[in-house]
Amino acid sequence: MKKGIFFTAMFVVLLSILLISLSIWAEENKIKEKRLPEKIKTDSFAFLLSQITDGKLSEAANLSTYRAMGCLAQYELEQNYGGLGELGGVKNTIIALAENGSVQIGGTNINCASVGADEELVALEGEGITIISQPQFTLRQWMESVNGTANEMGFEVKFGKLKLDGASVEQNTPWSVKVSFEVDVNITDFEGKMYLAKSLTASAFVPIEGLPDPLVGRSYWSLQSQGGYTPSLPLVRQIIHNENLEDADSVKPEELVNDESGIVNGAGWFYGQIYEGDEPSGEEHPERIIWKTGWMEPCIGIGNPMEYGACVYSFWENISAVGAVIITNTETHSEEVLGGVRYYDVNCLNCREWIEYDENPVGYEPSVTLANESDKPFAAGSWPYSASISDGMYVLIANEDWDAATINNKHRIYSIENLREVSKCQLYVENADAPSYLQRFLNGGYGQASEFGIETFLVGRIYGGDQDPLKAETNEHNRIDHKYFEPTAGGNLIVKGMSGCKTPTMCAEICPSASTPLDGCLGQFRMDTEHLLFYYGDEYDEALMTCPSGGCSQ
Amino acid sequence: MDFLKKKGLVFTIDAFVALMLAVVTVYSLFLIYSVPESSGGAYMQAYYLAKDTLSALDEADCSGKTCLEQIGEAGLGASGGSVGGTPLDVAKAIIPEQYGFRFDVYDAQSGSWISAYDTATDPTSNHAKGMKKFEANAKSPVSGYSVMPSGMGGVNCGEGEVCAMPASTYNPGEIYVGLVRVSVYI
Repeated sequence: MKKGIFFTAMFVVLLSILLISLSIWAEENKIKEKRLPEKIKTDSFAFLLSQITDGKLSEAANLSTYRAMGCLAQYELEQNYGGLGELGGVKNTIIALAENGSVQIGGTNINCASVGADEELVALEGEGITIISQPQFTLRQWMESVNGTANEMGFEVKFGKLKLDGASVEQNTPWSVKVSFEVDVNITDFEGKMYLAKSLTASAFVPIEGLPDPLVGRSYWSLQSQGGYTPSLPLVRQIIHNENLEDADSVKPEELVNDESGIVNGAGWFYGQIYEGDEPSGEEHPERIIWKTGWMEPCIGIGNPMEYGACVYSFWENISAVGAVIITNTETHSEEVLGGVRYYDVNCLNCREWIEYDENPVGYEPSVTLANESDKPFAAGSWPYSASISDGMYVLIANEDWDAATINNKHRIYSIENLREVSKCQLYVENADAPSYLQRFLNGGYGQASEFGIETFLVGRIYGGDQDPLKAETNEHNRIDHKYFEPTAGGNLIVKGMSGCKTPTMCAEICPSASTPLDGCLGQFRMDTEHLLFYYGDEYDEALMTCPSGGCSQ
Repeated sequence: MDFLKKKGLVFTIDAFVALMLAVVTVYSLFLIYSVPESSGGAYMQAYYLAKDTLSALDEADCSGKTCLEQIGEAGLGASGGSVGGTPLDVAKAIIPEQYGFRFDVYDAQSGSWISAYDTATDPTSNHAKGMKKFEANAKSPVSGYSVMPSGMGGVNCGEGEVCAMPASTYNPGEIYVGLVRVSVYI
């Protein structure tokens, strides 16, 4: 009996322990369950904090500043705004636009929501290229979005105003602007139990690629207005560049051939594409071709090339059709004595023919005349020079003025494609004597210079070409943008091979009617000596590269 | 009489014990069923799986950005599309196969959730298909470039004749702000 009571008592005790354990376990789970939402909220708070960082703000600052600069530039162009007074104003305006998309300057309100409709670029030929404006993006929009996501998590994120003290918007390379500023942020939960205040710092390097250049458009408008003409559309030039052609060194002409490397003779100058076939006269525009050939090479194997038969006729027919000739073999000589006179016949184009009198009669001196005379620009020589210029290449043949009696004049063949590329594409190039992008927002920006300066060439039918009502004047201008709008009388040299001056014929007048190039009249490309030296460097030779006072007829 | 008295006591005790057992049984059942399933630990486990997955996604590299950003980009980016590749590998390495999981992205601008991935609709996944008992989730904001800046400094016309002035190919990119939710269910 006693045993039974003992076992019963033990059972009751064990059962009680079990029940108590079960109760504790259940209670603990209930407490845990009560705490779970708090745990989740704490974790969410940590996630939220981890995503509101300097880096994220900097990303937003990058895009919003890019949009702000685009908006300000377009505003200046559309409203023909005179430009801002100083760089501090540019900084404050850009930061305000980046933050809110609008700003009040004096009595003027700039609102990016109404600025930046589709804009038209004026192409090289004068045709329009429409640039679709970018959607607006401001820091305040980003902040509202951050707060929206925080709300979904049960939090509120409040950003303060950007602190202008210590904020900076400054050019840090020719192609980018550094932006930095601070902003305070307060994060709380909806119940007000959690609170955190911190300060974020944005630091962004904003490219200027693709942004409108406010200065070219404004200055163009001003120049045309002063001349009595008002352009119907704001002129928009985008900042574009090629990383391989972004400074003067990368734009320099390349000397392909010089006197030492094979050219022995030549005359005149010409820019065009090399053609190595037999029948250049059959090409679509033979007058644009530089025919690379051996002396009467097409006749080899047909018969005696010295016999003026059909073959020779074909040679001269081709010569007369093309723009210029490159002869790839040197002259050959033959000697003949007739009646006491020794003739050194030469077998080449425009060669010197030496006549020597063996008996030297009184009154007669050895003389030089031209054999196989042609007025085509040409260069002649032998390997290795011919190996460095090949079919399809665009080259500039440049010789000093032809003088049959002179053998020491200069003969060169250049590639000027880099400079032409920069000019044709209207790329921007670094130049420490030019205004930087931020300085281009200023009134009188063309009087500014910066170590991060950039400049571009103004080439096109509206710049001194057939669509420019002021072409008689502007054709004389320097094609460097910050010099084009500050015209100086004279002093700007026409540059051989560049637009409007690829051949002597084309270069003879602003818009030659007889030889209007396929690309329309672009006026004549001119630069001052300072910029010619800047872009051509050691290669610069005024006689070979430009058309000095004597013109470009040869 | 003594015996009867003793017998009565035994029966009384027996009845008392039986009653107590019955009460204990009922109480135990009440205790067990009164505690919600979530407090059974499974819910907590699911939540921690979701949270750990979210943390891992925020740390893991997915082609130069965090996997969390890649999920956000997939949900909100211009390219659109569903999540695959590394983010899924990260999640599958953390979440056991008896659980299913889902990625959703919240668009702060439209105020709506967009499904970016669900094992329930992925025939290649061995994870659970669809919620049967409960699900837990963890959320983190995410922002970044949905379209990366590109096309700078590459304008080219080509040699020779004059070409039309090219427009810039530079795209400054687009930025999104959203919320990624990782849900783990069983």
